[in-house]
Amino acid sequence: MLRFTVLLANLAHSGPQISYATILVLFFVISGNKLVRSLSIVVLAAYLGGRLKRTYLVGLARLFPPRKSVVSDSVLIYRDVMPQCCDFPTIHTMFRCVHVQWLDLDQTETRWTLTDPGRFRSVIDEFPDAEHQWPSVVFFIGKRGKAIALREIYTSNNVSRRQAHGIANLLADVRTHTSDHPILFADCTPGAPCSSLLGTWGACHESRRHAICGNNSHLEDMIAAVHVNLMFPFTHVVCIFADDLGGNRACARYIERLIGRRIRPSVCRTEASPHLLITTSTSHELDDLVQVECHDGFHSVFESFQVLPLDEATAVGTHKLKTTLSHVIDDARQARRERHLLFNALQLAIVFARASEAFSQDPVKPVDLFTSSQHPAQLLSVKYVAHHLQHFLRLSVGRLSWSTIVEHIASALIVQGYPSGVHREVILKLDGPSPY
Amino acid sequence: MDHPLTNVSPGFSSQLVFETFFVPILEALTASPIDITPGQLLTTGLIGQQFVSFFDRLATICTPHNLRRQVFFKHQSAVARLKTTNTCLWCLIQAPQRTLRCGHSLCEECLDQYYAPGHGVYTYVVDLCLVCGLGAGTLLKVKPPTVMPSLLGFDGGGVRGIVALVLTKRLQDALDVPYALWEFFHSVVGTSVGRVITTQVTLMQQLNKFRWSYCT
Repeated sequence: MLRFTVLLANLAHSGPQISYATILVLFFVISGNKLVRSLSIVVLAAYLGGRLKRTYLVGLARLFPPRKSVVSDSVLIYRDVMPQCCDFPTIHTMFRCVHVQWLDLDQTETRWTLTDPGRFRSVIDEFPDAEHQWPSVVFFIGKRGKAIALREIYTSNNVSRRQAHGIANLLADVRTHTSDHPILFADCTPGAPCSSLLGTWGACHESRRHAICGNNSHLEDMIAAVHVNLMFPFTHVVCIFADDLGGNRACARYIERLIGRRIRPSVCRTEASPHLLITTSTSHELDDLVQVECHDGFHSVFESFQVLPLDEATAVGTHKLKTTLSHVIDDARQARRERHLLFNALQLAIVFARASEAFSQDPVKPVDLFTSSQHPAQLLSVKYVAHHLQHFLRLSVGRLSWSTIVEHIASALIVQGYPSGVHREVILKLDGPSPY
Repeated sequence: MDHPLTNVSPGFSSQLVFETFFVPILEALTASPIDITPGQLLTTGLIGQQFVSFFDRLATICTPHNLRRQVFFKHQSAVARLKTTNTCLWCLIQAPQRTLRCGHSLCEECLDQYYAPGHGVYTYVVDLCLVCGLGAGTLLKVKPPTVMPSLLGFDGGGVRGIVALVLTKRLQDALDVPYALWEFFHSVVGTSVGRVITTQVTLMQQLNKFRWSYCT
């Protein structure tokens, strides 16, 4: 009862909209003990008489630490709410996480800082079985036309409610959430702010900041670098709305600017480029758009190129875009699968977190998915392993056939090269009981 | 069909993985080629071909560890005759720590990965030998990975420091490995003359100037 009194006192302290009198009367009604009732009446009378200050109630609250917290639907709810003067979060600092930005970009003096709020991970954490889901990422660039199209294509996501972001908001298509191949879509609005507009970070989730090396670029160039060198290797399809960028010629300039930010030639051993889909409602200056494909660096940034003529913001146009997107996504997924670059959701989140760090070290070079994956075989010591293989060779020469030795070494290396199936539970699950 | 190996870590192209991680190892291995049978030399290319071939099988039927089991099972009678305490015959990449009743030795990582845990922490029920398939019927305890670091200490005692040096040299010879004894330890410490030995030996080892002949 005393604890409940303290809780009510704290609520009264932290929530100015709740009057003390209301709380005490409520307490009086619920308490069954006569003594407590009497005490409540005394307290109420004292408070109403102005003799009991609010600080006394707060002081009483400090004597009792909070109980454990519970987390429900991204909102922190503390059973015992402490006053703001304590270090514990209060009801004022607990709010639902509304951040949907994939990344943030801030400038302090001449330095750029990339903030990774872990959006990729938080989206993927909501997947029911992230290890067995292979998502596709679609990157939309545009303004009004894009907003209308997204609203029509992803009807369950309430896209229009989100604040526009200059780099991209990242969302998961709710309808494909439980499928084997969920769709993640990035919503980029050129010209929109690139830093968080929704209050301070840290209250609802962790974020990591990376200072970008050698950066004195203009904001638009830096955004283009983030898009081309960090996000596009993880993206399957890039869809640009030419009308939103000012027509076909302006769209062509925009794409050239993107390509121009890949200053250093790609040395990636695992090339992963998105398919480019451009929607336009006009046939003027279409040549400018088509000529983009002839640009020197085009094929180092994009896998393929397709122009989709659409009537502006009609249901038929949206349906056509949706169908085309579906086909292009399927093609992109198949291409990545054939090149062993189709990651499951968990891998994608892990590799992206490492890639964002690598990007900050060298923003003009595309991130390498293979290097960013930090393969476990990187830890093998050449000298050490070669010594043991040499010993095995000395031992087996004359006792094993030549082909047997080759098989043994190759199969041992396979285990080191693909250690994912290492755990015995996987072996039992996939292959049945041990042969021994 | 999606690659079954993508469950935990990305299943990159076999050619890429082989060239990146294993070609340097095999080039170090085949720097002095071993003539296994007359006219047939072990080359990186041969192992690479077999590696890619195994990877193709992985994509459709089994996990790498099961494939490894199949290879052992196929040549079990011949492989069972091999016995060594210098190299774990299962993984072929490190020295074994535990020897079973049948005489085959395994490293603790293989124990951890292939055997069911016992009742205690870091205890494994080794029912059958992975190499020969014979019954082992034993319960093995392994060193927890948190038991760190490994230390090598040299005692003091003036001229008697030579005893520690000779013993260390014999240990190095007995190990018969091409790298220094110090690499097995996280730290080397010493007191009095032991401190002098530690400083001289480890520093000169790093400079590749140390010779055991200095000590004896």
